[in-house]
Amino acid sequence: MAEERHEDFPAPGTGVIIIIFFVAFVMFYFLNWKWLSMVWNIG
Amino acid sequence: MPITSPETYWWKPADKQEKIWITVAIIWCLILFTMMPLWHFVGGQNPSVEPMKIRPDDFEKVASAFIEKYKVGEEAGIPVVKPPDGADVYLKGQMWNWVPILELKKGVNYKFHISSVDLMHGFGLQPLNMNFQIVPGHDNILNLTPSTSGTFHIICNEFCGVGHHTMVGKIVVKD
Amino acid sequence: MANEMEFRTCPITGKKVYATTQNLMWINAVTAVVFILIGGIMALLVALTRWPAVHLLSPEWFYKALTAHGLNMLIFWIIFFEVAGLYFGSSVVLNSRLAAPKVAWLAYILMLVGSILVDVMVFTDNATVMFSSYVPLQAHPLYYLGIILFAVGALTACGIFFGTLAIAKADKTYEGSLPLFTFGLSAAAIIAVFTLACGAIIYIPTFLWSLGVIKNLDPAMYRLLFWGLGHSSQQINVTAMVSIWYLLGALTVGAKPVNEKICRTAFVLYILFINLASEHHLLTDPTLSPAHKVFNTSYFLYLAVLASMIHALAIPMAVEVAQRKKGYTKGLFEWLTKAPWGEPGFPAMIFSLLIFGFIGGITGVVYGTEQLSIKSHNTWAMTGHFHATVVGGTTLAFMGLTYYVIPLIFRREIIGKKWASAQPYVYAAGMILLILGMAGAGTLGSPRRHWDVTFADSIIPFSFDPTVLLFTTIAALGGILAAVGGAMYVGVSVLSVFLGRKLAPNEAKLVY
Repeated sequence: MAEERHEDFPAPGTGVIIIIFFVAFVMFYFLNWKWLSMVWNIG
Repeated sequence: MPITSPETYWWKPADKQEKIWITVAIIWCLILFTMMPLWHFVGGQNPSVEPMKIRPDDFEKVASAFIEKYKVGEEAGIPVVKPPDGADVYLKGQMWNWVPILELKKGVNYKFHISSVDLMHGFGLQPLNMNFQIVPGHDNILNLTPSTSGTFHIICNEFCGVGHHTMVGKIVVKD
Repeated sequence: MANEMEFRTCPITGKKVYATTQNLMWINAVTAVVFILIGGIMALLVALTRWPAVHLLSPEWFYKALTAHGLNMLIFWIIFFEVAGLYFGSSVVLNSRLAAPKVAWLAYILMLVGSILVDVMVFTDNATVMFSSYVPLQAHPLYYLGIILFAVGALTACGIFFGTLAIAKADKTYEGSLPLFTFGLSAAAIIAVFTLACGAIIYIPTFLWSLGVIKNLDPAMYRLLFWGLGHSSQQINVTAMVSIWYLLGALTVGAKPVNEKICRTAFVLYILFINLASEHHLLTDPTLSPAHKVFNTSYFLYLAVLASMIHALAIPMAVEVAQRKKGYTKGLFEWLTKAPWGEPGFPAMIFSLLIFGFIGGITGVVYGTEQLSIKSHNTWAMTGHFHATVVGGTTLAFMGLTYYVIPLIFRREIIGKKWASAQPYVYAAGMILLILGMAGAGTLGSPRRHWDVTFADSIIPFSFDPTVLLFTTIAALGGILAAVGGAMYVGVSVLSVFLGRKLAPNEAKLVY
């Protein structure tokens, strides 16, 4: 089925959800490095 | 529909939304990869493993010698050992305790040798929550520097039989 | 036995449903539900034991129940269900007769005999070794034999799948490229072949060791090879789950992938980059160099993460686009609020996606990072992670799909439609509480596979921060709620399959 105009952002709601996911990912990831830096040194 | 064949020419360019997300995801995945080697240079927690095999009875011998040499007391039937600065420290996991109890000094680097003389055990240092797999037949060598003082406990977090929940060890770090 | 060529035509999709395929789908799916029942009872017993306030089982029974829980859920429930799915994805979706139905029945018998053997060994105190059976823990030889038989049966079923694909191609029962669902299942089946090969490489020597034929088995080598089987088998589950997300999207809201090229490429990434990525289970082991670990863990694993992140966008996009086409264009989220939340398939898909993505995926990457692993290895946080992926993710999606398989394939009316509609909510809520409880307690140090986290009998006195007990209680309550959700699933499924009113050909309908 041919679309007259190929939409750039066909799913804006999904766009918002995926941004929230990404921010959560980045924050949790670096928080864990912070927690790791607080334990004893190894190696 | 996922259960019908796609249109003949399904190899189509992606729209902007997908392109942007895939680009972001690729960059993020590269960051995820880079953090690991990076931490080896900028971070302080890098178990640099020197793979070392050791038979359980040989480890038992070396650990016993270490305990005898530096023993300073006993607690709950387990020898308490105070190794000198920078010494090789031998810690034995067995059903169902960690031997010996250790007295260490803050800020000093110790070369830990941790192994098991029977089954798999899980070294879990609390309350720091640092965890390592302890494998019979292999020496888990860890250059540890206690950066905090206090009393620490070692629980076991790998199933090792019916007494698994009684297995607790101890490390005391003095200033 | 049904005539190999006997089929009926589905009035909705026009697909040919061969009687042999339907029977084989039925037996594998029903068997799967029997095993989730066993695994689920074990789950409840384990939850009630880890909850210090109840502390139900003795240590001996706890570790037995935990072993049985792992095996019945992670292997038997999931793989029997996936085999039913493989037959659907090949024979039904491609309008083709099933390759070698007699061999497919042999595969089923092998899987059944294997699983019964394993369960009997575990419940008779002959295999309290946990799902991972780490050497030098040793089980009775029949335990290992049971697993080997099961694996051979599953591998045979994969062979039937590929054989059916070949027949469909030769008989020209479909035109053009493989439908996306079948493409996804093909990816799962390919990973399964690698997985089961790893399984053979590790379980056969271990079986021989348990017989005394092999004298020594290096525990470290066992762990490496076991997780070659162990992790890849999870990737099969991920790939099957993602395929089912696409299918549920289509069934509930008529969603079509926005871009097939992207979805299919993401599936191929799964195949290429997951098979050797098992070393993230061994990051704190004393046998592999850091360079080795970093390479194996990230170079391969992160491309599979990329694939998951692609699907994470593609599926909601497909749902949103389909909903917007129907006219739900108000604001940013009308497409979501006005979606069929009353249909079990839709909330099952959405919660599966959210739990797998937000919790399972993120914790998986974090805990599977070389140095970060130190803070999570063997803690209950790890258990939280994989309950988010394989239970909140895969199992919930499978449950959602069941409510469509029963009326559309087995042509039985669902008994208890309100229970079916509520079930994904109850199960998802229970699982989220369980997972967050596990992750919270584990982050504070609470161990996995442990009978008493109050350490009442420990040789040296020790106790956790009280917050650990709080998270443990949350987990227990979540576990109980999830068990209720599981019971609802088993109840509705079993009642409907056996007692549901038989539907006439024109009665079964898709709901969007």
